[in-house]
Amino acid sequence: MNAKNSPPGWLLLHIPLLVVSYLLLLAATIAGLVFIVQERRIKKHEALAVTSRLPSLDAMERFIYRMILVSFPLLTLGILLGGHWALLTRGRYWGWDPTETFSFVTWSIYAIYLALRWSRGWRGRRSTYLAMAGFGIILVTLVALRFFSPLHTIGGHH
Amino acid sequence: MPFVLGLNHRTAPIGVREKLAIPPHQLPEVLQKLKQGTQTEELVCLSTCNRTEIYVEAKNRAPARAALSRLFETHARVEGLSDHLYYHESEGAVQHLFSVASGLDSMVQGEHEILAQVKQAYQTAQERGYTGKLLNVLFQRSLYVGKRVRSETRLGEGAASVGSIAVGMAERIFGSLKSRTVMILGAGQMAEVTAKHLLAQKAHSLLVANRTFERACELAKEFGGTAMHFEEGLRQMVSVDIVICSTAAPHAVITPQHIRDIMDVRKGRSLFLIDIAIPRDVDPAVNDIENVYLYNIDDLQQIVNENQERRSQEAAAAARIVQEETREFSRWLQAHRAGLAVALKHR
Repeated sequence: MNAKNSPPGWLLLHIPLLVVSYLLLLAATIAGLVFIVQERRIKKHEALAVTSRLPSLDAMERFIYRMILVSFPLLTLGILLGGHWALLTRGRYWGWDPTETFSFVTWSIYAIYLALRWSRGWRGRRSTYLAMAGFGIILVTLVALRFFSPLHTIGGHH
Repeated sequence: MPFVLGLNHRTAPIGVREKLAIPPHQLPEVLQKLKQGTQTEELVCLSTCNRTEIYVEAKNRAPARAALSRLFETHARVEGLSDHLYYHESEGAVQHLFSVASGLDSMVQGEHEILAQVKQAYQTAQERGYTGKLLNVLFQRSLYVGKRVRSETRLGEGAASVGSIAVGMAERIFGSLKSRTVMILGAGQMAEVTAKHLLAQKAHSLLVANRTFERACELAKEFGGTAMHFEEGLRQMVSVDIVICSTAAPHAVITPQHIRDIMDVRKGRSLFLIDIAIPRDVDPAVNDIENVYLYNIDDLQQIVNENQERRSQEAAAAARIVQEETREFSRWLQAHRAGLAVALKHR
């Protein structure tokens, strides 16, 4: 990277914002896995549901929601800053390269999750699956970022 | 040689046990009487609602035992009290105390309270100088065995009745029940029992809906709830969290369509349905609706049975530990009598 297109300092927030939001979403996803297992046990009338001292479905569901609620603004801001960065380095805000596309899909999934929850109180098994799918796309994004994105070559080779 | 004389929930009905139960504040006085009235070197008295037992170390067991039996009889004034008493000596007494401390001898196997009660009984006697070397080591050892059984087995885990399973499941869904509302739909006998369990967990409020409004009022009064007509109850299902169904209807009164309509209004809040009516009140297909959890009486009973089975396996494991510890302690006892110092192993 040469001096001309090195970004202003505040743009560097792009990275920690996304890292923090991904970590929160990872926490939501792990809670989601536990929720799915325990919800199935209760549905299937298994003795294990009552003897295993897991948190209640209600508590796990609220935890997942809160993690997504907190991470969503960070995710949004992180992606917008990424756009600014692209504007400075490549002269365009958004170009639908693989990273950008997958980021958009991730953002949309969590936006849908929140919108449905606020408007219709949508929660439970299916909403948890949706939240977990969001994290699946994040993993895909990270792979795309490593191998296919010209801008995001980690360890740089300019 | 140590011995134990006493009675418990297995050998004596409550009418006899309550005559011999000693409240904690009277214990020092009783210990003093026992000491004066018998030829004993050391003694500890353990009295709970399920047992009253005296652990004794005496040079001459026979006269001490006879004196104790007489004291029991004069105190209890029960005909044929001796039929209810058991007596174990030496290794038998050791094994008995270890079983008691482990919760193996409790009415609800593996309950935790007994360990604290054993400790309290021992401390009361020890502080007042009624114990010596032998009972000190024996009781401290029993506390260790009680803890070991609890850490190495899962004795006592898993609730034991249909009502308590229903409550446990409700807590696994909702967490604390403090802010939850329970509705009884159809005021059958079983509904009353289950509601009692739920209210013991401090469910927030209770609604009672019944075809005969008078019966609904009766039950609502008993629990401090609100009575309503049956149809009103069906409508109110949009706002409650737990519904106990126990109507005398000959067919399902709650259909999947009804629950789907209700869930649309509930905005995804979970609904826990406990169907204890026979024939069933709720169409089984209701369980397939998202965020709805339906348990009928067989589902609950099945869990109770599984837990009991696991408990009996755990009880066998606990009994093995008690055996092992008893043998270990017997070795110490023999060495002690021979005047040798031997250390007890800890794991």
